[in-house]
Amino acid sequence: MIPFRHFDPLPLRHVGPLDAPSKEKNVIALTTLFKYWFANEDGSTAHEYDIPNSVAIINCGGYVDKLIKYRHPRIKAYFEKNGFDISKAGEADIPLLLTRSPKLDVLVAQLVAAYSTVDVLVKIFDHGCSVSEHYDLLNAILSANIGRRAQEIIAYTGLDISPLLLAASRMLHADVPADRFRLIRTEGSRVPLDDASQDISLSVGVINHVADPKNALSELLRVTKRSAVFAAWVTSEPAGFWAINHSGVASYFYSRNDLDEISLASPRGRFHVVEFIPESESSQPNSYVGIGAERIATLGCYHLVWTTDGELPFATHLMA
Amino acid sequence: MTANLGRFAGKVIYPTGGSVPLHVMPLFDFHLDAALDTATIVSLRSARQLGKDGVLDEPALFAWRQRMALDEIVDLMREGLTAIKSPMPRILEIGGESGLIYERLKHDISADGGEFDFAYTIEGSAAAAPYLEALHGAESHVPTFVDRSRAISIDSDLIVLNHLHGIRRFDWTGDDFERDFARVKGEAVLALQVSLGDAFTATTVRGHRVVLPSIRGVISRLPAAAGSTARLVRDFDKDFFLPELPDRTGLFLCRLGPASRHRPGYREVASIDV
Repeated sequence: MIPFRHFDPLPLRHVGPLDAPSKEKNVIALTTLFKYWFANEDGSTAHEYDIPNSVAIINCGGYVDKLIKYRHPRIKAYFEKNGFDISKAGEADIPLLLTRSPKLDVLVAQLVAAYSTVDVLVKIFDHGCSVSEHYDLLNAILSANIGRRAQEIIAYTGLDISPLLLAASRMLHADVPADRFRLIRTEGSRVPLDDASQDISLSVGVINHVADPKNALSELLRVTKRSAVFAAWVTSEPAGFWAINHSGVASYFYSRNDLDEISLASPRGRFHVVEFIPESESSQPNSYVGIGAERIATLGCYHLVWTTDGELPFATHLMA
Repeated sequence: MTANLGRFAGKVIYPTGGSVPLHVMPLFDFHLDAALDTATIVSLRSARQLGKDGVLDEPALFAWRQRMALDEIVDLMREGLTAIKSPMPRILEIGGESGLIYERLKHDISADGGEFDFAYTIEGSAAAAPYLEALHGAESHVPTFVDRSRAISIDSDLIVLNHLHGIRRFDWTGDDFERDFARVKGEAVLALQVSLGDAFTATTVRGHRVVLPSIRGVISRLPAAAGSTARLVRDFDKDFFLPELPDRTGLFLCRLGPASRHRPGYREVASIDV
């Protein structure tokens, strides 16, 4: 293959074109193209090739790729050797395990191991499940650590808005008994499940994108019986705000006040902080349309566990 | 020239009506061709299992099917299958890695109330194996995968030389092409990106170096098969190749074997105007 030079058509700027206080710079509609774009050494365009695509298709490809990697025997072998510890994934040359999603899956797996009993399935709710790739990593971790496959100890419910992703999920998990693998198609602001009906809930990179993120988080906690594991993108600004992410999808940054309100309204449990990752240190700091580095420095992502239990099987600290 | 080019692959977001990007986001290969293949397979599988088309269709998938000449290749294959007397025809597809053709074939056969009474082998690069397993492994009828780097001979009743798909996934040099072209015999379907002049090597936007055989050379060396028909689509997906090509390109779609019906746009191979 030809080793092309890397070309960034639009490097991150200190102040983005849509950053406050430039209220007059509102964008009312966006057009997204998918393309291969070639530049000459002077930066001029040498060639462009458009390809058909959509957000759902990109997500489908990305998450199916992740699922296939999770199914590789070396993933299970890693967990057989290292238990629930993913800190050695770099040494083992599996950098995928050091990304956000596996970190949260490992927390869920530890909770499943702690909650599982011989004859009762652990109910897991996956909010924004895409192709249910979390299920496959849980399967690898649980098989390695407690010798039981996911379908032997988990009753899984996934929720997503995309019919394409749900169809892919069904197709890729055709071997899991239907009564242990349920999918719901709906927008994620409201969750059509009973109060405290799920032992564990999980939401990775979704809860900020739904139509009503504050209600969605309240709903996630409402349906959770014991622990909810989730990523929440936050701002240090006094009020939460909406941005547009690289998919053209609206994305809400919770304020601290938002989280406090939701916590007070959900008194059965408390928020525990596992990790905080500043947005500037994330793998995709240039994810938001029109936002420059100055404002990105005020953003970050909490890995949180809301739990009704007194103790958790991993280190956390209570959210102050 | 190509080695000095900078390449970006991904999303480019514009204010609607504008021409200056507001945002860009690089994408990986698995978000691009592989994602489109996967989504198309999911769409076809869902349509087959639910018994109705269009359940997951969206414009991008329709466009992708056209760019892959998917429906047309499968239609040619089905005509070939009807001409084969074996109760369990063996199909060999060279170049199609994801099983896209295979899934479309099953969809179309199922829509007509037929059975999957054929064996299917896909020859591609080794990296394709886990994808094929994940996407097709849970089905009752599954394809066999062969790593094309391992030189083995595969018996088949219908050979599909899927150069159109293959050059998107791997380098396909002149030696590769000659080796694969020499395997074409009997019932066969060809989907070849060709040069309308002399053969030359092109660079694809994905960075692969691929030979585009001369259309005249291909036609002159096709095994004689009475009634074989073909069509040439000039400039088909030509921007997939980096510019400064020495000649125009085109897609050569051909079925070797006697045509059972008139197919619009198709002519006897010998009368193709090149």
